[in-house]
Amino acid sequence: MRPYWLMNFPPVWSIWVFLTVFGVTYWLDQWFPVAVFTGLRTLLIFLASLVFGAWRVIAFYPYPAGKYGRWLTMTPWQFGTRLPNGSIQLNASDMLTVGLLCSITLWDHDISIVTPLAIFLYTYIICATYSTFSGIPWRKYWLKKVLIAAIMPFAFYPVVSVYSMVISLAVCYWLCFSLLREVLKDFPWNQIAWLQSDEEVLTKKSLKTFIAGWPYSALAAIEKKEPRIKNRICEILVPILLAVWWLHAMMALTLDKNCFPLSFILVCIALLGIGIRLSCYLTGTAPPISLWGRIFNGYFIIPKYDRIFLAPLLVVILVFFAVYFMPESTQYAVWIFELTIFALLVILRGFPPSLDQWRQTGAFRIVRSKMIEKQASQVINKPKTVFEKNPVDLLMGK
Amino acid sequence: MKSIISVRNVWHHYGISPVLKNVSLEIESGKLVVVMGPNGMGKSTLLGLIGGTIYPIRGEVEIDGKIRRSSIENESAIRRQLVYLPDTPFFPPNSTGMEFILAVARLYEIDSFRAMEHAEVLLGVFDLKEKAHSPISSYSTGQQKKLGLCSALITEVPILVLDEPFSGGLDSAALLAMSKILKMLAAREDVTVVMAVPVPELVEPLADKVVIIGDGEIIAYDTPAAIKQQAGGEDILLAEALESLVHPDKINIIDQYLKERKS
Repeated sequence: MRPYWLMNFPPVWSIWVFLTVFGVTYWLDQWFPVAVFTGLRTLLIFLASLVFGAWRVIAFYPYPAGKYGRWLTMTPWQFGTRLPNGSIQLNASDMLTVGLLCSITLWDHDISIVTPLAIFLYTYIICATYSTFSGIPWRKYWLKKVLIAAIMPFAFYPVVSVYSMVISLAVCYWLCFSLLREVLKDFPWNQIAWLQSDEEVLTKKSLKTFIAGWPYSALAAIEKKEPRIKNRICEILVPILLAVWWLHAMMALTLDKNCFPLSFILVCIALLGIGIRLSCYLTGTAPPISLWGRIFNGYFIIPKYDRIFLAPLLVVILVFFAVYFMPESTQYAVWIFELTIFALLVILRGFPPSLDQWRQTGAFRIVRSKMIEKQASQVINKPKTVFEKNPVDLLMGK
Repeated sequence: MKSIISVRNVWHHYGISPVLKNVSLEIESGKLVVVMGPNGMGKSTLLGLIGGTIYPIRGEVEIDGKIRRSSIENESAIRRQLVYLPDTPFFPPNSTGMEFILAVARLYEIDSFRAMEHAEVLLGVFDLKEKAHSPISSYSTGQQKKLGLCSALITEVPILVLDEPFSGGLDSAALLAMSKILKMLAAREDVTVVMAVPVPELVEPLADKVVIIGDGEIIAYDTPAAIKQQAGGEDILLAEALESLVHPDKINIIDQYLKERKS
């Protein structure tokens, strides 16, 4: 049996596969010395670091809906003792694996020795942070998640440098380490209690409504308490600010900003956003009256229905002005672009009516939507987790 | 007696011509009201408006003092106390009958054990016990109709809105069961039933009041006896009363046709 610290070492077969492919490219390089083989080896190191970073989380994190997580809830495991499958936190065996990948870069000197470490850590931090969303309301531990997302771009913003990368990675890893500890401390995750008190109740309800078919699914009395205005502003603004911050940092990466057809990208993003918003609002609904009916009967505006078109209209006006007044100077154009993206996201996400308000008070006809029918026929085939089962099913041994 | 359902000055169009024209209706709590009328005259639209799947172009629908779709709180409260079963509901095909009924019960926050017990009884009443654990896709049209009725009844809500519950291939046993259940519900003062029925004879002994719709307007709204009286006498059938109120010439045309065929 492997010692505990070696349980996170990658499977032997994967090391063999890596070394064999690496060896074959090296052998071919001897016979056909072309640059493509060096590039292949670099790509291989990139991929290996990426896959290892993701595997380190996926294989060792006890996801509540996964087999490991469900099994763990049946055991007396608690925070402070070792996780039976191996640690989720990084340890000596990871240093060994990543150290090996880093030393291999010395073979070709094509990439920096710290590149595999940076890729591994980035992937690990992103996957570990994302994993803490699984089965847990996203509002829990939100501060650390937001900080990780906000600090990460400093690795390459305003300029790519080893120092900024090391500092940002170190801070993000510390936050991620502390986040994972906090999450594991709460194990076994009391999902049911959270579901009762949180908006996640909707997810639970949606499962019921899909099975309940039409019109029950559409007429279900799902009452979602509107979050307080402060929370609502945070819910809308924080993700949008993060998205725009990432966009800004990524755009700063490309020195030659002329390569961006900014106006075109802006129009595409606006159309995509409008499409997503309208499909969310209009799925399963039909206008109260046909267009001809409106024209012939003089119902040109039906306020309780037409209000959902206000946000898309505002976005169209905003984008029109942004494109029209887009300055020649690339530097200012990027600012206008980013500000417009921020404004259009705020409008699309936050302009009234909210989705819940619309579904309960909109002047539409409720119709059977093909998409919901499809979901209804699929959802029952989805294997249920212990949390999704109702007490009757559990008693019946289903 | 207090009105539990009020339909006030409702107009509704799907296209150019109106389906309902300035319809007003007050339904008292604890009554069984049957909506009748020829095809395409607005029965299902009226039930859809009460049931909440349709929003009127003009006018308003009030359920137990709350106007439909006026606010999230009002709409949620209405949805908790009213169930609407359309003529052709959609059932998730891969789900079993039992799963479907229990899912509906859970939506209406019926205690799981109580729902389980009630579901067993309902499935027995409608001869669906053997199919209870089979996927709904294997059910016949009549069996799906029965399942829809079970799903409406399991909710235990005080207001039932049923669109043509007797149609769709129900066998005689199911018709009898449904009649008896409706009779029981009609006798209760805390349950209000509104349903559209094309065959008047089935509901004549059950209905407290009958609404007759013709050409998008309410032609008559009264007890079956009063409607017969209005149509020409207590001895006539309710179907004849319906025809003479909606199409006054129709009876004459039929009589004329029969006379010609005899001679």
